[in-house]
Amino acid sequence: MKRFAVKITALTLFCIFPSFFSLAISNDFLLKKIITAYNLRPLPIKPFEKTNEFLLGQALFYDPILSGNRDVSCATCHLFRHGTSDALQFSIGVGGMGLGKNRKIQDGEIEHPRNSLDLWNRDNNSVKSLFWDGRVEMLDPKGRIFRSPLGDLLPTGMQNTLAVQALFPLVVPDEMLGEVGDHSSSKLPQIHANLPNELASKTAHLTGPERIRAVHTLLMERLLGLKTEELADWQIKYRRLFQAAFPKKPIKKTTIADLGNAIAHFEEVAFETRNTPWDYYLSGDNSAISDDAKYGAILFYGKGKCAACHSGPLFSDFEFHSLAVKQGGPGIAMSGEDLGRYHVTKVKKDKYKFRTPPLRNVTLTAPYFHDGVAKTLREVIDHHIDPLYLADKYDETGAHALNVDQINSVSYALERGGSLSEQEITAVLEFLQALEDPQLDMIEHIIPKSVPSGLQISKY
Amino acid sequence: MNYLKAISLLVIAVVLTANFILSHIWPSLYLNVHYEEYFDSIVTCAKAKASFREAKNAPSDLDPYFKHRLLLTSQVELANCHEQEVLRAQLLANGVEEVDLKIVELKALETGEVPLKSFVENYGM
Repeated sequence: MKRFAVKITALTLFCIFPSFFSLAISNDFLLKKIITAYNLRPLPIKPFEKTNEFLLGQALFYDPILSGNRDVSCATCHLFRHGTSDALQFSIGVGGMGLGKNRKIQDGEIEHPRNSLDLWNRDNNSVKSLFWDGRVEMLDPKGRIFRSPLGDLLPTGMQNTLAVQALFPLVVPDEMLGEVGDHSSSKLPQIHANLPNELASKTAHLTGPERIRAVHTLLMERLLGLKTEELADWQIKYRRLFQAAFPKKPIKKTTIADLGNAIAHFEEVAFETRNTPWDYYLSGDNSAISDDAKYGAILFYGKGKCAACHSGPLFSDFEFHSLAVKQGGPGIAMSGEDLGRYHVTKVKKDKYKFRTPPLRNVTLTAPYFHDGVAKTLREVIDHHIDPLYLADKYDETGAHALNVDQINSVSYALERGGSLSEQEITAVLEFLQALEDPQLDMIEHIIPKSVPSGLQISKY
Repeated sequence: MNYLKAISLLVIAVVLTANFILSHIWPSLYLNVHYEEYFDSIVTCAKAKASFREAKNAPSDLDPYFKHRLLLTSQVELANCHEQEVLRAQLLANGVEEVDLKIVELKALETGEVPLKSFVENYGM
């Protein structure tokens, strides 16, 4: 009898065990409601096609011939294996040696004062602005009117913001242009060695948009040999590539807009996240992400308030917000602080605001923030939870770590100060991991074996 | 006859014991197991309500899209209150007395770093 009772009790406890210990509603149930409320959809998968425009853009993206001293290409600071960023706090353009974390600056050169942004999914319609301060912007929903540092001198025929953006690293001295008096290295292939930096020197008397336009004109002359009588082999190759990509356009009419459009087209096709676990989950595969990631998503779209700014298919509103990030480095104006969006608009309320960075593949693009001061995503989340933790502290010089404008500028979503537990932070990190698709299986199709100029390419 | 008597007594004993267990021991055990969970859910819900109120009353000069998204995050956060309701219903269904739940709720509001407005909202403030 006693044995029987024990057995019955054990059986009863076993039957009620699940309901005894678990009452919570399922993450999937809530997440589906969130997906509907936010109207979330998987990113459309676009075909990977190596068109003639892709091949031209690929050559231009990886060819250091576009830089004043023929030593830096777009790929130098947008390395595939580093999630199209460069793993450095500040990018090192002209005069640098090595790649990625091993890239070192040479004596006399300066780092670019901002962290390199990634290039994933920038063809998406939600992309309204580019650069940390949004200096390149789309002003109409159809993408035909742009604001850029070129002002009214922006050439016609630009296809999108990404194409406009591609024109500007070319003209920044510490990125690709270099300085007056520079020469290309003697170690380059003979045809490119010890040549003066004509892009910088011939335009030195100009400033602002006029100089930008002049550099662009000289660059097209260099690439296509427009002012030379005898074309080099590599220039002939570029002429062929441009003709194949834009067959209706005579070479003499080719402009910097075509170069920008080709680079943008390559970036659109090459740097596309196609297989993230989150997109699979949005497609209906409930097992695509872990339970922790689901919980992280609920926090991301709810309690964490991340989605107030990190919204849309790329997890950015492409608007400008201040997080009161402590300035590392000299800032874009070399003044010791970086006023962000203010440098573009000159509107006081824009001080210290930076464009919300998209989050697809964010796990691959450390360090973070405009000045790369956060080494890990954990640091980034900690900063978001308490953006004003430095408000009552002093820096190494004895000055207040944050000034009044910086304190007052903090985004409304953050200033009320939420809190996430350790477990919740871990879950959010897990969710961010579900946004990763490094596309490493595409590497052979994306990084070319060589470029027309014969210069060494950034294969990393 | 004795056999039947014994059986009857046993049945009565089982019924009384079961009744005692179901009406006293089981609810108490059930509440104990879920005490922390319920306590936390009350605090979380109160905070979610406060957060929602703040989002709803965000300054009018904020970008309307930003305000809308902020409100949406707060609505999602409010789902925690649904979770609390589910827990509450389960606890009641398992025999936990209303008064015992009220005690947990008041303790949670007192000690759970709940914002003042949430703390006093039940008093018509």
